[in-house]
Amino acid sequence: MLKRHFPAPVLTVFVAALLACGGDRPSDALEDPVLRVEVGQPVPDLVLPSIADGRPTSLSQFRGKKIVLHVFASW
Amino acid sequence: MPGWHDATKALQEQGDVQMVGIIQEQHPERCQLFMQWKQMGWPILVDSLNLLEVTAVPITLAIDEYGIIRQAKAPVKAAEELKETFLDQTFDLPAGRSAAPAAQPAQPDLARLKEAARNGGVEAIRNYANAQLMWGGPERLGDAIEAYERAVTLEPGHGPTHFRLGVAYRKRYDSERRDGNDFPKAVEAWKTALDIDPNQYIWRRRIQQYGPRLDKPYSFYDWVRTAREEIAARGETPVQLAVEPGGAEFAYPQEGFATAESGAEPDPRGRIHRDDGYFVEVERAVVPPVVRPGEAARVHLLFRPNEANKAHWNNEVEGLRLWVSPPQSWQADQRAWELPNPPAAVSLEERRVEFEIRAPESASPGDVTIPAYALVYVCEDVNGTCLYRRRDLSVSIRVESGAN
Repeated sequence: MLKRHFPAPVLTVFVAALLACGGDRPSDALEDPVLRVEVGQPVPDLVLPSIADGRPTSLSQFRGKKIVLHVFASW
Repeated sequence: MPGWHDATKALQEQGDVQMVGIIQEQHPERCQLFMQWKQMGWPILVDSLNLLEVTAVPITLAIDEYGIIRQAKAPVKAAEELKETFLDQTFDLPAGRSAAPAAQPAQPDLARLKEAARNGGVEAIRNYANAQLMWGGPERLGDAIEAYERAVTLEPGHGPTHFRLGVAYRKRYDSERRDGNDFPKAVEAWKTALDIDPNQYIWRRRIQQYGPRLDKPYSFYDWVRTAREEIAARGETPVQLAVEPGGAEFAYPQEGFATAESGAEPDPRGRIHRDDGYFVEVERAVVPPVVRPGEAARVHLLFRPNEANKAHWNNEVEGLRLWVSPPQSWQADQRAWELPNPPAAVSLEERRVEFEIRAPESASPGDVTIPAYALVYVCEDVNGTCLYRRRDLSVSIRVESGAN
């Protein structure tokens, strides 16, 4: 879905180590592309449920402020 | 509080940035507990389906006031770094963009998407399945599964659809609408997805979540107990989990395969009368369902009194005992169990056992059957006759060639 929004050129982001949400973890020596987004382009505006109440929420609701978006898991 | 939480918490408190999270896990309320524990009070969006198509976590995107991505990287270790490179920077309003917040979106129109799926191609079917899974509620999980099954039939090589089909099966397994085969079907779907893209770490983690310790780089939910203790010590009530993490999800990684002393087999001569399922139903799942020689799998067994025959556990005697007989040269980490009984005289709860089994290096390709049996005290109805029965069962594991 993301790829369809941003066909090319695509910036490949490299992450040197995986840090899990639960704390700093040993490196998995990850050298794969982990997220195909283009810096300088709009963030994909997916509509996803809010964890708090399940209501549809999109990142564009937060426009007007700088956003730091963490994509993570609690494991 | 480790690295990036420290950094992000400080930034949030400064008030000039909106922290937002998108989580990539099957059970979002576990993340709610984590957030409560770490006192992270920002909005979180749930992406259990991996619609964002990230292949690893965690990652951080810095997004300006106009919704433009300005940085994409591994999580920051210090607030100063982000302040200097992003927060203190001024960005121009791009043509055609706005800095005004958008209104809250409406839920997708499921009826319209259903109609589009009926008349459209595989993409329309996938969109409908995704929407049903996210917004349709437990009663629509069957529709989502059916649509995903159609989509993978039409395009078997599309990994994300297999992954999401697995998410749907596992979600139904965790619901009251569970079908006994939902869990193994979830694992099969995740395995197919991973076979298509072995570098997709989010998909891999979904299998590892329920898999053997040899495959785990680290534990999943070992923090849950500490979190609850620390939250309670603050005088708060910990967020309640819809689905408690099970054995595999707490299990720590293992570098070598350990086996426990097994003691004596409880019914070596097979003298106990058999139960063919009249009293006790058994569900089983093997994660992963296919191993290579030398690899391990984790077996999940679930025992439940057969409600159709009004069966109950009898708790006034010893608890359920399980005995596993691995085939020659196969190893089980444990062969004998006795589960504790709850305090009530009779009960109906599900009883779960997990164990790990490892194929020998010499294993030949093909299906292998692991025999096991449970010895159970059960009663017919609450005040009915109580009996002692042996419930035979077997678990099937596929061995594939060790060659790539």
